[in-house]
Amino acid sequence: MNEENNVVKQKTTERKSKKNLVKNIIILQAIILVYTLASVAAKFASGEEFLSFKFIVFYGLEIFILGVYAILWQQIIKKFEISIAYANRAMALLWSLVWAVVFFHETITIKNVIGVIIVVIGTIIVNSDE
Amino acid sequence: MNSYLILIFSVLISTCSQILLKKASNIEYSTKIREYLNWRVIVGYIIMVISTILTIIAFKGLDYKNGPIIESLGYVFILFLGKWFLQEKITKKKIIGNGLILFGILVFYI
Repeated sequence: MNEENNVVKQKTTERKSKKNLVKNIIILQAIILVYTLASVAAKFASGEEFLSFKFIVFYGLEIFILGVYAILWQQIIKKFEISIAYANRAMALLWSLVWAVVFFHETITIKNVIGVIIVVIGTIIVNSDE
Repeated sequence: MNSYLILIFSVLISTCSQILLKKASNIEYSTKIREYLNWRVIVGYIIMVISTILTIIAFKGLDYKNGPIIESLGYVFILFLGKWFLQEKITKKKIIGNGLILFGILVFYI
């Protein structure tokens, strides 16, 4: 009977930790989305004259976004190995594709889409190691 | 100087800063604010600011969408730095997963 109870407890704990892992991965991904917005600001800054008003605004925006990201990142990396948390940043490729279209009107190709799909699979495999 | 080289250097130092941040996150501090106001995190973020300046300089000579392909070198850097400084294992899943990530990024750009 005791053994049965232990098995049930163990299964509940496993389910909880799996649920926690999924939750942490979703939080990690949201933080990475914030991070990609910083590179959008960087690209906008790069189009402006160095230290011009617009440059300072975009660079300031980049630093602000990075600041928010940094605060959040420091909390989430407690929950992951750094090599796993960092690999999740690959999903930035998906977001850069979205921003490339939305902000910079760059065209996307079928290769872009296939590449992103492969990256997503790779990220899932790395996460399954946690 | 070559925009690509500047970006690679920027990625390398930014990956090093991740090791400092992770080391700090492994330490239990008495207050939340101390989790940020300690030398590892401060130095880590100083390095990151330097990296952002280098990235902007590099972007002057690159299309926006070229950024991530150079930055993908970070996935290789972090595996080794994590092993050397944090004793994180380089597992089969990490190799396959990161291999696919690099391959996906290549497909994306080539």
